[in-house]
Formats: sequence, C-alpha cells, structure tokens
Amino acid sequence: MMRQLVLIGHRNANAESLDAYHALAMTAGLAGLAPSADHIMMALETFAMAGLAKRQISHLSAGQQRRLALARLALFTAEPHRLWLMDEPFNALDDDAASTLNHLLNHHLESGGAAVISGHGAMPITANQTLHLDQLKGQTQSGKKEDRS
Amino acid sequence: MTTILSIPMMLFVHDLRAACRYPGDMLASVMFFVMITTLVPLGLGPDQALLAQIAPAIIWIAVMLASLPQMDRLYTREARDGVLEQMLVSPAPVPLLMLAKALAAWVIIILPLILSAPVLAVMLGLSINGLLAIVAFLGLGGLCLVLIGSMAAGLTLGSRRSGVFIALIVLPLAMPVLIFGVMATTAVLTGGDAIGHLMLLAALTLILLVLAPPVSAAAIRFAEE
Repeated sequence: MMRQLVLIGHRNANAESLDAYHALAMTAGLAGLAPSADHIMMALETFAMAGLAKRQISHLSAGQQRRLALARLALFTAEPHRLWLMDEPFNALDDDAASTLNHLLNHHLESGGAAVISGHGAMPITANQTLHLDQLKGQTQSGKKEDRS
Repeated sequence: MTTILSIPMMLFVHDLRAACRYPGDMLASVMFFVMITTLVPLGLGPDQALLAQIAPAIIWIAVMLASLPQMDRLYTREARDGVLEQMLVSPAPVPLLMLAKALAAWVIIILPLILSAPVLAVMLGLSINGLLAIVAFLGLGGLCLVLIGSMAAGLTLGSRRSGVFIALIVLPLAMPVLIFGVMATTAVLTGGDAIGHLMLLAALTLILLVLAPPVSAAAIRFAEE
C-alpha cells in the first residue's frame, strides 16, 4: 500500500533554491500529484500568492512562505482519501489565511477525509468525529461529535 | 506504478532547475578543477613526456577533489527547508528518490568537470584518443563518486564538520575508482588493453548503483528522526 499523506510540517518544505511556483509543483510532485500549471496558479491564488509565483523562496517573507506551504492543500481537495498531517497549521496566520485554511480543512473533512492536527486551543472545524488526545494521561479524553459553533 | 518512476523523474528535473539558479556553484568547482590541473604542470616543469604520462592520474585526482565540496551540500539545503521530510513521506520508494538525486548530482557536479577536461588535456599533452578515453571513463567513474558521495552526505547530515567527514568517507571508498580509472586511461594511451580495467570500473558502478541509494535513504531517515 502506498503512503497517501499530505504533510504540513513544522518546516515549510519550500525548496529555497526554486521560485514559489516550482517549489509548490515540487512538493505536490513528491506527494505523487502532477498538477497542471493552471491548477498550481489556482492553488497559489487560494492563499493570495499568485502574484508572487515567480518570486524566489528566499525573497518571500515568513508569512508568505507559510501560506505557500499551505497552498499545497488546495491541490489535494479532490483527494479525500489522503490523510492530512498538520503541525500547528493555524499558528502565525493572518485572519484571511486562517479562514481559507479553515475552509479547505472543512471541505476535506466534509468529503470524508481525515486529518491529524496538533495545535493549541480549540480548532474551528466541523468534523463528524473529533478525537482529543491528552498527552498527560496518555489516553483519549473524549471521542465526541462536535457541531460547528 | 507510474508514480514510482514519475516522482523520482520529477525530483531529478527540479534538482537540475534548482542548480541552474546557482551557476556559481558549478563554476566554482570547474575553476577549482582547472586550478589543480594547471598547478601540477607549473610545478613539474615543461617535460611533455612526463606530463603526458601522469596526466590521467592528475585529472582523476583533480575530479575527486573538485567534486568533494559539492558533495557536502548534497542534502543540506533539503534538510534545512524540510524537503527531505516530504521525500520520506512520499509514495515513491525513498531509495529511488535518492538515486534520482544522485543522477542529478552527476549532471550538476561531474558533467561540468568532464566538459572542461578537453582544455586541460591539451595543456597536459594528451592525444585525442587519450582525451576521448578520459572523458568516457570519467563519466563512469564520476557516477561512482557521486554515489559514494550521496552515502557520505547522508551519513554526515547534521554533523557540524560534515565537510571533513565527507572527505574522510569518500576518499578511501573512491580509491578503487581512482585505481581502475587511471589504469584504464593509461592503457588506452599506451596502446594496451583497457577492457579489463574498464569492466572492473563498470562492475563497481553497478554495485554502487544498487548499494548506495538504500544506504543514503536509511541514513537520511535516521538523520530526520
């Protein structure tokens, strides 16, 4: 069985020697996706990065680099069978980017996808089932249905 | 099945694209290569017969030394920006990705050196036959070098003095490459039989093609954990 993961790690995984467009194409490619140029531009636009497509990664700000990493998720909306693994994805995002990420995540969950997310505080997401893990007790604290507030 | 080959090919293309953004790296090692091969004739004096005799050894050693600094940087960028992490969770087998990176490294590191060899061959008084032989053999031997280098780069990933360690790992392992490469080249120059040496060099390349990718994959997995 092939690994079907989308990993948004602590590091952004934008190849620093490439421009934004090719860096996104590369991370998508490593996950086994071969998106068309239009598709990549659309994903960049999702996080308002289309205007910076030709900018080299080292010339992007930290926030822009993070948004570029998250733009990868927009390429996987048609693949709900993939598990999204995310390390504190909401950290250091502005409101627009956070709501876009929220939207993508909800879309993924609504199409039957699953995500493993680490983070502080409550996640603003709709899921059929949310499992909260408590590290101190080493066991699941609650496995309950949550409604979107 | 398609992704198993298409992902490594994609990685190969992206590595070449990234290298084109930093032509200075390539140029620096070519300059280094040229400097080594220029210094030897300057030091030995204008004895054409002697130079032609030791030319193969000089060029092979110069290629080994000039490629070393680049081996050091084989995975450091990817480790820093997190691409290595993405490679480990890719659906493609990690050893195949490592092989793709090694082949890209051959194009980026070895090919420019080989292309500058003709200029040097003239300077060292090599015949046209010797020149063709040295270019072909260097291509094969260079593949051995980057494969050994990819193992060493994986093993030293994250250590602070990786440059020194890489030299200490690569140079001893590259001795057979140097010996068979120089012997094959010398055999061509003196009209002897190069086939035996060449076959040993080819066998070495095949062994490394099979052995090196899993080793560097394991090393990188270890370094990333």
